[in-house]
Amino acid sequence: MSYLQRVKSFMEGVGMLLAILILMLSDESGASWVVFILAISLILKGIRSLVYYFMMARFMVGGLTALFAGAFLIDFGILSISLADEARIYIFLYLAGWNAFSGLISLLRAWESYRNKGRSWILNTLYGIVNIGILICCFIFRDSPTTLATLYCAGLGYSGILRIINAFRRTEIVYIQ
Amino acid sequence: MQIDFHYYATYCAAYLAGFSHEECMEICSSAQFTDCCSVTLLSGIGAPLSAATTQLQLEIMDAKADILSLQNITRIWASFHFLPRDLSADVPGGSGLYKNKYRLICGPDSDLLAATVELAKDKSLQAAGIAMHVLADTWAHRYFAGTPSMVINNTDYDFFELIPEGDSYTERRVTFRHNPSAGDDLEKSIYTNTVYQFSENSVMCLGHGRAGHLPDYSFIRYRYLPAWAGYEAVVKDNPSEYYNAFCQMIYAMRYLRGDLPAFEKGVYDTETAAPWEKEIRWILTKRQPDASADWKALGELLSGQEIPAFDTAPFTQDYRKADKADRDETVLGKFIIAALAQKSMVTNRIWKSGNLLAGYSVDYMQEGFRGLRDFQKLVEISLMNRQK
Repeated sequence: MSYLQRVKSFMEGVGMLLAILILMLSDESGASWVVFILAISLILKGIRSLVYYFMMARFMVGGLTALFAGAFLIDFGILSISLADEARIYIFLYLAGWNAFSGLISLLRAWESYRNKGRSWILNTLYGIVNIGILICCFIFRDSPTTLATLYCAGLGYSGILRIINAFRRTEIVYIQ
Repeated sequence: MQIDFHYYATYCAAYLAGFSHEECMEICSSAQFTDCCSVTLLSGIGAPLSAATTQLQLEIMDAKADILSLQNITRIWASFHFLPRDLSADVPGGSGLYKNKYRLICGPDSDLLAATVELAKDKSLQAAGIAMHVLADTWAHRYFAGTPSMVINNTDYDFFELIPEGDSYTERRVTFRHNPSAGDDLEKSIYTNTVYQFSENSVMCLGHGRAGHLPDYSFIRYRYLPAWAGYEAVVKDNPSEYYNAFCQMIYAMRYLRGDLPAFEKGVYDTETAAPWEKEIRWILTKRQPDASADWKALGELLSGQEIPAFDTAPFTQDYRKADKADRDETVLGKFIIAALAQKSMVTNRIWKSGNLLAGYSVDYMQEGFRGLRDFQKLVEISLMNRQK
């Protein structure tokens, strides 16, 4: 990673941890803040898609899709902000979808690693169990916006810490002639 | 390419280049092992993970979308399976980001290929095997890049198979489905490919995933619209390209044996292959999902020796049993050193071209040791060779 990429990764991590702090201090309105963050992410994704179109996708066969996708995402993001009061269902869908997918992949990887006599199967099983555990919690606490927001914060914290660790990791490939 | 070419055809080419049966076995086993040496396998035997030459399907699926994962994916796939053809290719228009992706498109007869073959010179037979894998794949994987990229690797519905009919070809539309457990239906041109995902860095757009297994079949000819070619169709004639790959492998291995003074791009040893051309072309054009049996029969006809089925156990068992100090002398130990050297060289060339998609490279002679510890072994061996 370049220095700029390291700084970016570090700042993103710190930003995520700060977001957790804000969400935890917001008590009841925490869930609305989560939806607000998700909506802003959608808008940013839409803007990224437009930038992507002008920088890369316009050279691609069928690249016009990026232009339409960008416009749609921005539109949907703005719509989501106006629906922040109905936060619970959005967080629930986001958490349930993400953890179901991650849990399944982790468990499949654990099985693959076990068959190949790899050592990572224990860690992968653990990841899978945690994901499935969060998924079950989502269903149990689906009517509690505060608990859903807390679960969201846990995921955010994990991503934030990973980004900070990545910023300090050795990544260079040594070359010798 | 798949086991039929990487294992059995490489055996045939090595034998024609003048290697003994035992040497051919070491070369072709390493060529095929390049498709098996994953992080999962290496972690199970306590080997350096940076020596991974491939990724299992689930490893790819599980890869995160962060920059380190993308660089790791690019290092593995660009170094061993999609060697870039021209790292300074002129791209009309387009941002720097687009150019960097475009310049990783794989193709044969590149400077990097010459560097790959030269890197294996005077090294182990395992190094030769890896080089032959890389060389062969430059033909099969032409037009695709070893990095996740929708703007380069995506395909669309305009995809046709060219079926020989008399002196000409008829076109049959290719149908893609996304069920990995369903085999390809060669009779109806129904093939499995990866799911379309609207994301530039999606692993679904890694290499030829969006074109399914087609580039890996020796018999196939197809016409399609690559994402990067400005709506110009590309025709891929695998039987011809695979024959070139075979002849170039003979030429490269004659160079590695010391029969030739230099390795030049664009030279194929058709002369040595000529007595067997009819048989080879017959295998290459035979419509079948796996040509292993035919290549095996040809290899055994050439050498008069039995070619055992490929097995990863001899690689891992010896390495596991060996003392730590003796591991470098095992087959897998030699393979790991060769793999690290290849990855280090390709990453350095990509980085030097101003392209950061494969990550950062640090030249030990200029900046000392700064980077992943797995490469320490490479430095030690190189310094030892210099002292000798």
